[in-house]
Formats: sequence, structure tokens, C-alpha cells
Amino acid sequence: MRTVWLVLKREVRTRIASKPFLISTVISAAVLIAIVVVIGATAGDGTVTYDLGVVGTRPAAVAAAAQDLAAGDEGAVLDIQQLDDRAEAERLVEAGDLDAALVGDDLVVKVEPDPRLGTLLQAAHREVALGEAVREANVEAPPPLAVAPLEPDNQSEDRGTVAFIGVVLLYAQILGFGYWVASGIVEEKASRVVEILLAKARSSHLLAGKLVGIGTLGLAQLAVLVASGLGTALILGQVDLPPGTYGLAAAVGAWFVLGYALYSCLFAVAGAIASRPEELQGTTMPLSLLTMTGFFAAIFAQEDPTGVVARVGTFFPPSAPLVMPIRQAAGELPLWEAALGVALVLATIAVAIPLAGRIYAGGALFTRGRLRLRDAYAGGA
Amino acid sequence: MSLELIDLHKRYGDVAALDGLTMTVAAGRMHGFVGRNGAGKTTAMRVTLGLVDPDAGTVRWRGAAPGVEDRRRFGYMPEERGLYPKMRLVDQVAYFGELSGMAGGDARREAERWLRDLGLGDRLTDAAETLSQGNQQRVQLAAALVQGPDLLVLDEPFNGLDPVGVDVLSGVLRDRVEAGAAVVFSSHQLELVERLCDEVTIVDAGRVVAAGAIGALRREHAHPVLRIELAGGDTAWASPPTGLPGTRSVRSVNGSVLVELDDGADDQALLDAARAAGRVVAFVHELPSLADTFRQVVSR
Repeated sequence: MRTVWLVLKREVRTRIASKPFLISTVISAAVLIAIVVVIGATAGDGTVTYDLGVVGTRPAAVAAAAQDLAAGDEGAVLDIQQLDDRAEAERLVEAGDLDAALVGDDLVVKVEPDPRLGTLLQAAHREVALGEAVREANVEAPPPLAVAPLEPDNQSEDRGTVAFIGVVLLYAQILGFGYWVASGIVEEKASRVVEILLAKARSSHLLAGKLVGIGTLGLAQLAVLVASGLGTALILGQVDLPPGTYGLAAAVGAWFVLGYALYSCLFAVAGAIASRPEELQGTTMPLSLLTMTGFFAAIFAQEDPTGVVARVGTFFPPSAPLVMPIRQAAGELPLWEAALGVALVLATIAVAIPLAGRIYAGGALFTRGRLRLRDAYAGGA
Repeated sequence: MSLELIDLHKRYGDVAALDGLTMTVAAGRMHGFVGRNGAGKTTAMRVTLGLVDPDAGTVRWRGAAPGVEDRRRFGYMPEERGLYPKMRLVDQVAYFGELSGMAGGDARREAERWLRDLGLGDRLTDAAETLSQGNQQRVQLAAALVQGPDLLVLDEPFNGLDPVGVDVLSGVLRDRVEAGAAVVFSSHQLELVERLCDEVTIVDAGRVVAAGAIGALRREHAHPVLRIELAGGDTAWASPPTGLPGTRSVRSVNGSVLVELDDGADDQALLDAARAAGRVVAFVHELPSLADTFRQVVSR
């Protein structure tokens, strides 16, 4: 175990201060923050602020009622100014400083009121007048209509957006850190350090330390990215995080662990059968395609969370880590499908770990040319 | 005790890299391991370190099969040098020390000490890739020595070293031997092996063709050589004594004539021939060099 820990420590130490890691962290965080800011800015587009002047107490009550109504409809905000008299109101409306002014029972406007503002104020006016009439007649006001929704609005669409950002992150992290595993292995082969390492430690310990070390970095970077994204949203306050966002963030973390466990073993194989860094392009190609397939399945699942692609993607271990968060966010992932999908991923990991260990052992001392998988497997016996 | 390799066999496809190799490296002795390229030296060393599993045969260290704990304390310098290009020297030597079972603080202290001793004291925090080939080799040696090994297995350690580097490495290896370690290294520089080693094992095609104390081997395996020098150098010979019975080969070296004799050849007849050619100033039986011995035993 000490060997695994030593290897792990070296992987984390040498990489965390390396330029590629720092640069990729900063760039990814910057891109994520930019996305959140852009979403926040476009979401704020529909909001309109109206400047409204009022003269007298009754108009003030109407304006207050209108403000309440506007608060229910997120699109409008009323900025109310108390004015001294009609002359001042007319001057300010004429100058364009106010959109409208309420004076007695008149709505003072330049030419005609903004339709949204007009509707709001007319409704508020009616409500105030009716309230007064009801109080005078001493009858009970009818209670507001109770809303009985057939489907709960859980803001699944917004959650879908959050989940999709999460899946893009997952895809990038799994691919990026998987590639680091492959290149780390091939670097040790190309520099022949591996021969000294193997004289001092079991290949399974070397591989375990490397996979866990790089995975820890990947998870830490993911946490930094998620935190910077959510933090930006919270600080700007422009984006209302849909319910379940934190659960989704946790799920993305968990899926990284599973997805990375699976893919890092495969990338370890890709590294073990290459002997020089230039060969990695070729040996990792099938894995890049595999992750990309998972990513496209996730896009399909976003469009149709219960479709064939979404279902198949759930039960195909290489794509499950990318497809399942999308379906979960859409609320379209039945428990049994989730359980079966996770079980299949775990089963594949259980097969991939010893396989990767054996091929790594067989390929580690093979430092000339590209090794055939079968020979590496036989050599690792 | 010592390192024993017993009847090792290893095939790669149709090639037998080891074909019944048996050898012993004693503690407190410097052991040279020589053979042509592809004779099986590297494979034998890799088997010793547990990097390659032999098809048959055993490795014994101090009388028992070495376990992982024993093996990681061995000092090993592979033929294909290996360092992390971007890691700082002291960090990587300490890392190898820790992998060998040292505590973190000890590993760092010893790493610094060895790098200083090997003349790299002012480059401790440099990346390995910034070093010259010869200096990288010194780092490699520090990595093999950091844990204070009782067995040092070095594959071509002198390859590519300048004369100063050769002296430094020779000194370090002698110190280790005097401290009681068993040291075995392979080399093609036979003069160096002859000068440094107590014992030598010569391998050819995966098996040992000669082994033992160097002096004894030189006497035992090569034909005796006579060095005859005439006043006036080799031009004084009207014709070299090639035709005489019992002479295997004749060559001129630095004005002398070296005559390799068959066993039981009549050296007095040669002396007569030399006296007939001119005034004899030297007539010496010489022990053949290790290189001569080597050529003798592997060219069969």
C-alpha cells in the first residue's frame, strides 16, 4: 500500500504544479464562468423596468398593487416616484423621465401607455376599486382561484441546461484525464524509467497509484470548475438555480468517479501498447470515438430522454456516465434503469481493472514499436 | 552470502536468450559480466531483478529466493537509462529511495548526499532533461545507490562516460565492494573489467563459457604469448617467424613481435630463430589479456 501511496503522491505533486494542469484549470473555469454570465445576461433580457410617477394617496395604492402584480410576472419591475402635483407629473412624462404617471383617476402618458404597463395599471386600478367596494358592501371577497396543476413544474428544462453543462464537463474531464493516464504511462516507457520502477514495485501497485493519483486530480479540478460555475451564478444572482442543482452537481462528481474508473483502465491499455508518445494518437483513437459516441448519445437523450438512444445509452457502459445525468435531470430515469445501468458500469469496471493491470504489466517493458494487444495480454501473465 | 543464478532458461520466440546460464556473484567482490551483444547479459540481469520471469531456473540471494522486499533494495542501473525528464534530480533520486523502502526524510538526505558525492551538488533542483548524457548517468548511479544496496546490478554502467566519469564510478564501486556489497556489472570495455574486477563471467549464446578469477582465467583459457623484441625494432626481422612449428599467430605491436603459441610448442626454437634475425633485447612469456581470453572462448 505504501508503494501505491508513493506513486499517487508523485503523480499529484508533479502534475498539480505543471503548466498543462494549471492552464487547463484556468481556461475551463473561465469558459464556465463566461457561460454562466452569458446565460444570466440573456435570461435577464425579458425584464423591463417602468418608471411610474404618482400624485396622491389613491394612485399610490394603485401603484403598489401594480407592483405586487408585476412581481408575480417576472417580466416587469415598477420604479415608483411620489410627485407633488399634476404639473410636475406632466413635465416629467413629457421630458421622458417617466413612462407614465397616475394622477387621480387619470393615467398621464405621452401618447399612449406601454401595453404591458397599461394592462398592469388597469388591473391594479380595478383591484383597488373592487376592494373598496367589497369593504363598503361588507361582504366577503371571493378567495383567489386555487391552481391544480396536472404536472408539477419542477423546472426540468432549466435543470436540463445545468445537466448538459455538467455532461460537457464530464466528457472533457474523462477524456482529458484518461489521456493523461495514457501519456503518463508512455512517458515512463519512453524515458525507460519504468524498468527501474518495475524493479522496485509490483506493476499493479504502480498502475493503481497512477490511476488513483490522476483521478484525484481530475476530481479536484472538476470540483473547482463546478464551484466556480455555481459560485458565479450565486454571486451575480442573475440565474436562479433550478431545484436539484446541488444534487446534480453531486451526481456529476459521482459519474466522474465511475466514468473515469472505466475509461482510465482503457486509456492505460492504450498507453501500455504504445512505446512512444507519437503512437498515442493511434492507440487512443478508439477511446476518443467511444467517449464521443457517449457524448452524442447524451445530446440525443437531452432531446428525447425516453427515446431509444437514451435507453440504449443508459445500458451501454461507455456512454452511461454521460447519458444518465441528462435523463436524471429530465426526471425520466426510472429507478430500475438507473440501478441496472450503474450495475453494468460497475461490472465493466470490475473486468477492466485486472485486464488493464495485465496488459500494463505485459507492455511495460516493451519499448520498441507498437505492441499487439494479444501479445501484451500474454506477456502480462 | 551471495547472488546465485542457477540454470536459467529464457526463450523469446525462436531465440534462446538464456540457455542454462549459471553464475555466482560473491559478496565483497567486484564481478565483471562480459559477452557479445545479444549473449544474454541484459536478460540475466532482468531476471535477477524480477523484471523477466525465466522459463526455467532459479535466482537465489543469500541462499533463498529473493522476495519483493529483497529485490527493491537491490541497486539496479538498466542499460536503457531511465529518469523522469522534467523531475528535479533530488526529488527523483529520493523517490526511488522511498520506493526502495526508505523513510521520506532519509531518502531525501541520502539523495542529496549521493548527488553531491557524484559532483552534482549545484544541480540538485535542476530537471534531469537539462543535464548532459554523462551527468544523467551520474544521477542514474545515485538512484541505484541511494538505499545503500547490498547487491548492485549495473548494465553497461561505463558506457558513454568520459575518463573522469570512469574514475568516479570505479571509485564508488570499489567503496561499495569494500563495504561488503556484491557488485556485478556488464561491459564491453575489457581492459576496464580486467583492471577493476576480481572475477569475471563470460557468456555466449545464453550460457557461461568461462568464469572465475581473472588471472586464473587468463592463464587457463588463452594460449601463451611470447613477446620478442630485437634491437632495431620489428624491421630488423628479415621475415617474421611464421613458419615455425607451434606458432598460431604472429603480429607486430609497437616494434615487438607477439607470437601466440600452441600448447607444448618449442619456445627455444623460436629463440634460435630470433637470434638468427638479430640481437634479442626482450624474450618474454606474457599472460594474454582478458580481451585475448574473451576472443579465445567465444569464437569457438
